[in-house]
Amino acid sequence: MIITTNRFLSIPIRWLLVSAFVLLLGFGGITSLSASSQEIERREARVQATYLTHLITFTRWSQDHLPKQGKLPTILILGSEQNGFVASLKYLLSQRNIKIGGVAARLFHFENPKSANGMEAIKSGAQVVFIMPDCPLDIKNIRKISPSAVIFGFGRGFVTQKGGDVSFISSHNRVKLILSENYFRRTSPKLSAKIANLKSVVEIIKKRAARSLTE
Amino acid sequence: MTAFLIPSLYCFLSRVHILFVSLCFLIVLGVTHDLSSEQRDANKSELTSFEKAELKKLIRLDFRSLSSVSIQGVLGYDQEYWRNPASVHVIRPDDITLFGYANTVEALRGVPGMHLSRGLAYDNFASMRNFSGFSTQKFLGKIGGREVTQLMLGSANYSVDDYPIAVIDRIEIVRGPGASIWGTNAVNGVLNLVTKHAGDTQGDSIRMILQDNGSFMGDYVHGGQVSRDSFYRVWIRNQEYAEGTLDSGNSARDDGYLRKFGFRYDKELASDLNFYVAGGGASRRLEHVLDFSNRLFYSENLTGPLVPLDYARQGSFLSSLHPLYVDPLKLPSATSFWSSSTGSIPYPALLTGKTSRFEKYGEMTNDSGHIVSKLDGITESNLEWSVTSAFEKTDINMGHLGFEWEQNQLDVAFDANRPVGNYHRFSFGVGFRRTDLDVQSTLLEPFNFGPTVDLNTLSLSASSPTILEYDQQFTKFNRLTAYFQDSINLSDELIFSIGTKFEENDLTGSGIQPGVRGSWTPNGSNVFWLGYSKAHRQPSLRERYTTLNPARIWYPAGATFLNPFTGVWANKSFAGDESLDREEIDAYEIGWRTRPNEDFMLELSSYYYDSKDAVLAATSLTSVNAYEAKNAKSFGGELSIDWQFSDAWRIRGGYSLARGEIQGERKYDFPEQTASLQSSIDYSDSLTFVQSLFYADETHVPSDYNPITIPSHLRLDLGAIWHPSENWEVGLFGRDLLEPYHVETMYPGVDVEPARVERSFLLTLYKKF
Repeated sequence: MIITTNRFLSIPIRWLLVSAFVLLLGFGGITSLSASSQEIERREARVQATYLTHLITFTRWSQDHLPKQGKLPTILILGSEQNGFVASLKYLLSQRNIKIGGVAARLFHFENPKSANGMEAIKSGAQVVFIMPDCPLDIKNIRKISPSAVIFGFGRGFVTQKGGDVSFISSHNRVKLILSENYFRRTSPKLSAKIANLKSVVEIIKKRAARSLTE
Repeated sequence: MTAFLIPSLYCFLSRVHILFVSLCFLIVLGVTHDLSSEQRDANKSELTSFEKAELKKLIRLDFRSLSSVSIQGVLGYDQEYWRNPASVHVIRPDDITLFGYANTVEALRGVPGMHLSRGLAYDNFASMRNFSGFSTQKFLGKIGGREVTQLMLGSANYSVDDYPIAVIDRIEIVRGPGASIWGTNAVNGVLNLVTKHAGDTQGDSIRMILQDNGSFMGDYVHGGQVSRDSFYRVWIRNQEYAEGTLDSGNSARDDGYLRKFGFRYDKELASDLNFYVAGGGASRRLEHVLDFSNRLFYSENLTGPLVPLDYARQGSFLSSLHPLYVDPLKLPSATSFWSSSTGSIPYPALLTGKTSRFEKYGEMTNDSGHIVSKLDGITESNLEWSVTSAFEKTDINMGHLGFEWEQNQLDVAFDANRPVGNYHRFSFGVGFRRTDLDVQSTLLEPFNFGPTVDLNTLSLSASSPTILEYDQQFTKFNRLTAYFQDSINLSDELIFSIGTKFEENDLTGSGIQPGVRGSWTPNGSNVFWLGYSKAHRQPSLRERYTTLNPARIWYPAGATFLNPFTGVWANKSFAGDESLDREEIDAYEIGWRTRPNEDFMLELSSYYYDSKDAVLAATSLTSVNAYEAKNAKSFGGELSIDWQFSDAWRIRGGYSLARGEIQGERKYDFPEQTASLQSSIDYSDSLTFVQSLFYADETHVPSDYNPITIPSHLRLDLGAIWHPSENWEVGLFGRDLLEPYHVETMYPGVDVEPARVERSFLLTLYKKF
């Protein structure tokens, strides 16, 4: 019986299988599932958290900008996020024992930074502050309270207009860094000039350009 | 248990059932979609086990490497991505140095689904899943951006094409055909060696390996910066092979050397525009043998049985009344090749239990050079593109056969991908390859048996034919390829890819190779995937256009119509088969990857291949052609684990089952079961102990005249690695510690016995960048 030969069977199976996938493809096209972007955002958050730990490693703080003896350097995340950024950062800190000034850093996350605990933490001084888009505090507030901090955020305008030190942007299917030139030039906290060579990933905003954009 | 489950699964479930199960699988995932989404929403600020494991990899990347991590992956390209619907294994440089492997091909021994066997001192043979053959490797080799699988033999020499460990970024091994992306010859899988950016190899690195038998390998890499955004590196390698021993105890005469150099220059032309040019050269000198011990026959007449010539010669010493007596006058004169024996090998069927060894050693040389350049960028519309070109010149002389070919090969390829809407990412590309060959066959003096009859035409020639002859009509080949693939994110849990590759080449004409793959992630700890591919493999030039003349038969006086005076030598030839069409394989795969926590991963994959016109070596002296096309089936699976048991102890293991049938008959040219268990224990910050255990089932090496059985073998390696400082590594390793030696394989076409793989000890010194 010809119907029992493998070759005969393989052809309709092949077409059935392809048809099944095409149907699913169509299903994906007509439905309004938005979850795919969440997958991308979560991966983006993991890469951003990794960059952050690298940048901390490449940054030098003067003794004046480090906590007094017996106290631990601090990384603050202000505002809420749901893509696993904070969890990624916590995980990386637990894995790599990231140090600031030779001392293991601690991480605090305040979804509401204006809470009593949040404000107290900011006032206590931090070496790294990461400002989420929904954070009610602006950079000026934070600089006044915690002048020794490197301030991170999202979007080009965070550096060019708001005066932040570092921001993450997504461009060309990659995570890229916008860095304030000030971050390289000041004495503390100061980023290693080695990072400036990587122009495929780093864009440096010159002080004057940032100011004129602000104006 | 898997050993029994997988074959049973395929025995009892036909492909219709597999399809049905697949569709049910898809329906179930649709039903569970809402539930799993809710679950995910509740935990979306938490990390899954896969995400934690990915973070562990990301943190090891430097700034530059991190910059190349894509946010949205393209299925089939981003091989390390845990959701990739394929069976993928990645080897890192540290995995190679940790176990004291001299080169990358040795590290393949620990890859489930791959079988690595050692022939002579200088070469390891890598094969994947089933029917990989011996002179051919039915997987695609890409090294440093070049496709290295050679058209002539259908294989690559991974020792010659190897790189220093310091410049290797990773080796990706994709089991199963990814034909819609990789194209022809990626039948059983793909091996893709990726080298580092020159900016990541700044400074100096040196590695030396010294083996107790005198083998030595040393390489030196230097990298520097030309300007703010341009970098270079150069490297050299010298490898000296000590002589090994054949199974019989005779010297293998396989000592020699390999010398290599290479360079790479990288420049960031703009923020999203990169360029590199790389190149290198290699020169290898070795000896190899053509053994005629079982290829010289005596036959009273054209229709009589073939008797080993040595058997007939022994018969000439018997009493003339003895039934096995042969008249010495009927034997060929003592001046011919067969009389110059160089020892003996066991042959129980003969009167003395031994036969004389007739062999010819000759220098096998390999001189090659290549240059590769690549320009890649990303446009404002998020189109990621690259243009790659490569030119390669190879000159290989098989001095033991009198066969030499020079090959010039040019490759140009354009590859791109871009997002379309929120859910699709299209990948597409075109490629062109041009290959020019200059092939020469030389009749070596020892193989000139004088006037010889061609048994196919019954014509008499003045001299013997060359051992390997090539049809000179076929020396220029073009290949044009194009592919398209869509990677579709249907939801957080479900991603698919569908695509096809079109290929037009001078060897097998036009062909379309479609593939569909999908993966389902019901939760953060499990990924299920399945795939179907239709893959092609084009026969090598050796399989199609060469004629092998490996045997001589002496017809004594009396066969008067051939030669009325003294008897005559006749030649038994095996022609290639120009009618060999491409092999077509329908491949069905299914797999499950689970990470109950970030320190433990288990992966199970299973496959069923249905091959039409699989090209296989002929296994009988009565065969007309050297290679034959037969329908074949194979199925099996691989189980692998990676367990970071504690901060100090990591265990990796694998088991594979591979069963094959050719026209309904079970075959054993690939071990049905292989297993590996590798462990590393950090005793302190500076001292690590490693242990490896490998098992391979019995295999049968097919041959037209001397098929042999390679017994199953168990191999134990132990090692200790000391890090006296951050960049220095000193290792001491013992290999094959369970027995003085065992055998693993041989060249079935030219050898008569395998070489010993002996217990050995190595000292390694490695100064990293």
